[in-house]
Amino acid sequence: MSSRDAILAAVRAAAPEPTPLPPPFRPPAPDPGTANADSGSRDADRVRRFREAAEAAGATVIASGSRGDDWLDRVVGERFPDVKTMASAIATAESAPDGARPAGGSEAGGPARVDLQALAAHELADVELVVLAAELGVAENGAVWLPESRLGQRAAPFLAQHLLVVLDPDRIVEDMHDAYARVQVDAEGFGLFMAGPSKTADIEQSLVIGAHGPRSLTIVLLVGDG
Amino acid sequence: VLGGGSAVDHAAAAAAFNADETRTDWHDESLWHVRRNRDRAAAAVPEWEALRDAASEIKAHTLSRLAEYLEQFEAAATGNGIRVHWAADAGEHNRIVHGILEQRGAERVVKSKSMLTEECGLNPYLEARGVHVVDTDLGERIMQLAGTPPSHIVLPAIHLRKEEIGDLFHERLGTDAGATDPGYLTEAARRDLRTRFLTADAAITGVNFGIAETGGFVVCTNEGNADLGVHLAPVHIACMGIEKLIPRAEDLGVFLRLLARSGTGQAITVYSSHFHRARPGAELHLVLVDNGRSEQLGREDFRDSLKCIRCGACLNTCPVYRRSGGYSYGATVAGPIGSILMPGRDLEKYSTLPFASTLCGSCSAVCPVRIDIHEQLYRWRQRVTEAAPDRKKALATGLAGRAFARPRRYRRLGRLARWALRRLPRALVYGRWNVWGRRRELPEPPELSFGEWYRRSRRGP
Repeated sequence: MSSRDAILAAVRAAAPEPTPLPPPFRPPAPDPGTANADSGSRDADRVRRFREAAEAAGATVIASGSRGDDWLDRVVGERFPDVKTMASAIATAESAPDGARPAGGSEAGGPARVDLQALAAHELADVELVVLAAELGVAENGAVWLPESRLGQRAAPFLAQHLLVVLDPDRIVEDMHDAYARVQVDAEGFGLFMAGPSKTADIEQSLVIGAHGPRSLTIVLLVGDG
Repeated sequence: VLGGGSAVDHAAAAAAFNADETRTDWHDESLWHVRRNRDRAAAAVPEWEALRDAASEIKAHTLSRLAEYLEQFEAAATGNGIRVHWAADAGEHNRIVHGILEQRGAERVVKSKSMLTEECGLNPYLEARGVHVVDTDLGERIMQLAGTPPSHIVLPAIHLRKEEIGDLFHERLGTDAGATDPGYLTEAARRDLRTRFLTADAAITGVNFGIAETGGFVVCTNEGNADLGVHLAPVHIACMGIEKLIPRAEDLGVFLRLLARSGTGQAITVYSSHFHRARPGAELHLVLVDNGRSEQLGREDFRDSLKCIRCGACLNTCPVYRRSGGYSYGATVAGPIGSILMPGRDLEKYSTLPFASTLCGSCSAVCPVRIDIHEQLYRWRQRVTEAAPDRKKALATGLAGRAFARPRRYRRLGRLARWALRRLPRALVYGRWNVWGRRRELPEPPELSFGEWYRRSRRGP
């Protein structure tokens, strides 16, 4: 008998009487005070809680308008004035999935942009800033969902020295149950929830940001300015 | 694999750990700090207890139909292009992993934290066959450089002072002599490991959750080390105990909400990575391992131990673990959960572990999947005693039973004991027989027993 069949037979023989599978978990309805609030203030509250949770996880959260084609340059210029190389997997107003701009610096004098998908892994390790767009955010823990198609390549969010993630605040859900209700985890080969920059506390429980992955995570809440 | 064949003497090992009282206090406080973080995180979720119920019921259901879920998982994973392997025991697991590496000529392997590969003794097996394995979780890397196993399932190096890690890094990674700053030491490990990630031939990871319906799995880390390994190497081998399955993807909502909050007090780990298909051009293997799990499933009194999601909460809260250290258990999984898992592997070798507890129940109170850990500890004690009766304890409890059975004899003995405690020389009262008095003072004997006092008071002055 193969190990497969032996294991299955042993498990069958050992299993207790079947117990029921509970229905998918749904958290209790919010208390009446919150429920009565209008949807606008509920949304604002969810964004506020996302921001707090993401900051607690070590991320920096900023808001930016998306008007014009240079919002990304503005944000990068303000947040990362010294960054020399960046790679982006987002579509900005002026260009399709990035990398379209010639390497060697933008007209505004910002960092050189390289094509995220075209990079070999060891080249990616030298990129200082990687820019990605999240599919959704989770208010209860500050995590963002990034499926493979939004990463450029799988290693990108881990090899980058610094990471900038763009998120539409309308795409922030309440908790992980809401998140899994919206995300089909096997739609793509890989996807992840990411909360904050990489960290460790393996030496005397001292928190160190930037363990193996990014040393910082900036989340840009991109609001349309109408 | 720890400990070899000899029996673990938890009390003796704990006594050795306690010889350094300052370190014991520090160890105790470090873990209590983590436990407090867990409390804060749990209290912030109003539906926490309902989540624990749900997690426990989902796991109970999955275990009750595990064979079907394993088949479903295998079919879906295979459909995703994942190559699924089955290992009946540790030896077969190691052979499978080595076989995959050998076929690809893989010599340099990076491995993220996996208690299963620790349990199977994978590293020494591979090293003996010329494969160079680097543990990439910082805590595990520290322990690998030190040449000793992790002492905690989530916090591998929790027992080491930063001075010791500084010395180790100075010797092995060339950091400045005397440097102890955790940020500096972490940076040194980061630089060293980055080059290893970029040049590895294969990456090995554990699995936190396998999803039966979608044939994928989830790996949770804070450092990003598991992902750096697998997204760069051409081969990813994930090693998974058969009890790690959950039925539906949406069940992950329950478990990811519980896992990190219970373990470290974080709302979620930094990275929760969902794997369903290999990246283009790479291979993805998954090894399903039994190694005693089906046997434990057959033990009605102990099968619930298989619900464990390895969060570490029971270790952090346990007053015995905190003050005896992970190594005193001589097992891959230490603490309360280890003490109910390990006797199932080898009752003789691990017979002292169920006694490494005050049965205070704190472990069960924090367990996110509601395993009745302290009840199982008590039940293992009964099994241990049935298998190998403790003659000294039998004699002592037998004598006590006879004293309690006869009120007059009991009163006479009480008077004798009160007299003896006052009059006999200290050396005799605190002799070798008095285990309780080794670290404690016996109470001051009262003039009268409660019964004598009561009768006298009733008579009036």
